Amino acid sequence: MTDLREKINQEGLIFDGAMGTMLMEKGLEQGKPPEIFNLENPEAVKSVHESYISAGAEVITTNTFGGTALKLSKTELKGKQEEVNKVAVEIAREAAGGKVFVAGDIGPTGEMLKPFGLLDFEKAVDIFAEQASYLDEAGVDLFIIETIFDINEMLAAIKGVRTVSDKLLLATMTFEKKPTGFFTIMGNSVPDCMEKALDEGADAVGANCSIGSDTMIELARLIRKSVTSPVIIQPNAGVPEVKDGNIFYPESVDFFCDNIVKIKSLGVEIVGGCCGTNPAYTRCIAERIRGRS
Amino acid sequence: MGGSDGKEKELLREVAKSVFIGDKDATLKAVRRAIDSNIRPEEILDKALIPGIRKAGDLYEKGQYFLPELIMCADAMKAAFGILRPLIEQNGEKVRTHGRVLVGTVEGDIHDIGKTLVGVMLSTSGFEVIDLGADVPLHRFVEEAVKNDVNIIGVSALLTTTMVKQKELIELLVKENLRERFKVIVGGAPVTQKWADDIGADGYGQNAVEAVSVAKKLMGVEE
Repeated sequence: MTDLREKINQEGLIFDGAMGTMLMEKGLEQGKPPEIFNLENPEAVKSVHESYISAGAEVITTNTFGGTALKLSKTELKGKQEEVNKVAVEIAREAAGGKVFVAGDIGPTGEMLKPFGLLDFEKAVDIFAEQASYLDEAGVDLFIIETIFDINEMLAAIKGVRTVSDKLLLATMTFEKKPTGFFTIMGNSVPDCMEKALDEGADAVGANCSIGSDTMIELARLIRKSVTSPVIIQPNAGVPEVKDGNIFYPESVDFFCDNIVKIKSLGVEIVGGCCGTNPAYTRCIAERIRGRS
Repeated sequence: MGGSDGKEKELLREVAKSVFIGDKDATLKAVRRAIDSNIRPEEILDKALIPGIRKAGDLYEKGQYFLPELIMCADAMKAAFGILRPLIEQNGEKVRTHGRVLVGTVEGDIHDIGKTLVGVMLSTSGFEVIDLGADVPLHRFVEEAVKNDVNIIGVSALLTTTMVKQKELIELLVKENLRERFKVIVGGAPVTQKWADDIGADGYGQNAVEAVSVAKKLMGVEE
């Protein structure tokens, strides 16, 4: 495998798509933590990874988005963070077979930091460091911190990862479009988030989730202008709608894929999909960007 | 009280401003000063606190205020209200807010933020809000609603597996012969108007701003 940083700079990187919704199709009950499948149905997790790899993903993301001790403590996986994270990496590495990269996924703790919530900054750093240490020990190639809406939580997560590992670290946050521009729900501006995340030790920064691929073009342009580091963008396949009691994401493969190509052409190095995407989206992105068929 | 009009206005302006910038200590001080100057508590509420907090809500909609600012403003409002309420009731009057709303996220669901935002937006719009937090057992919604004599119960569910609890809460209210006593409004990512209609809820808001409009409509408040 080529060097990851070099690859990003030369030709960019294609990430996989959603995991949770794919696992639901494979029998994960809604309301259960997706990480439970690492232990109960590892074959299902592996087959999701494999389907993204065969669609053209160059990086697969471990099934550990909710894998901090704090988030797991509110589920039936309480206390099992070491096993949940390590097994997830083993599953992903097996699927990757050394041909694609494995990114250790880190998501929000689910609690707000002080003064608006109860979580201490330093406590949050420890929580993220613990998860990162399991992912690191089990052999991820890089880290991705995703879907964070409070810059302080992002800084805690980056600091946590950096206390245990120097591996490549991607930091992506979630923004809303307001009449005054793009902000997190905490009111953090885009340039502020990107700069602070880089200063704390992220190697690439960007946005994921929450907004559809069309609105994401505008946000991607703003992020690209804010930083000189590599940028990562992973939109949802639209804003979720409910039909007959089921959640679905309205953007078609072609619509999403066209927008990813536009985002890529802004000079964004790393692209992929968030909620509502599946291997068909990844395949289309890989074909359009890499010219594969 | 000739000549005190200007002073009264100044004191009320100070209360409104302190709430609007979310400074709890300054709000409490300003409210006490206003009370000491013999301004009626009802007037402090109607002419200073509510307009101040409403301005915060407006700025949120415009994208100039965000969740942290709203939480601070709501805290300041709540603290001030704690002083005014006993005084108003002591005068034998009823507190004239738009109404009292109980909010919470259903059991089995730990998503807190959307519900918190709705709670804060309701209080910034002149409602009195009791927030039960997340993962709230259905019987607790009922007990607290009765205990606090609320007008509206706001039930949040962020998962398609937990939204059924909204239906069960309405069924529980029917069973306890309390359905007529409370209005029930529902919200959360998977929730739709159709779902609200199907389960017999009184209202649905797609977001926190809509939730406020729905609550106002249910209480017969003009926008």
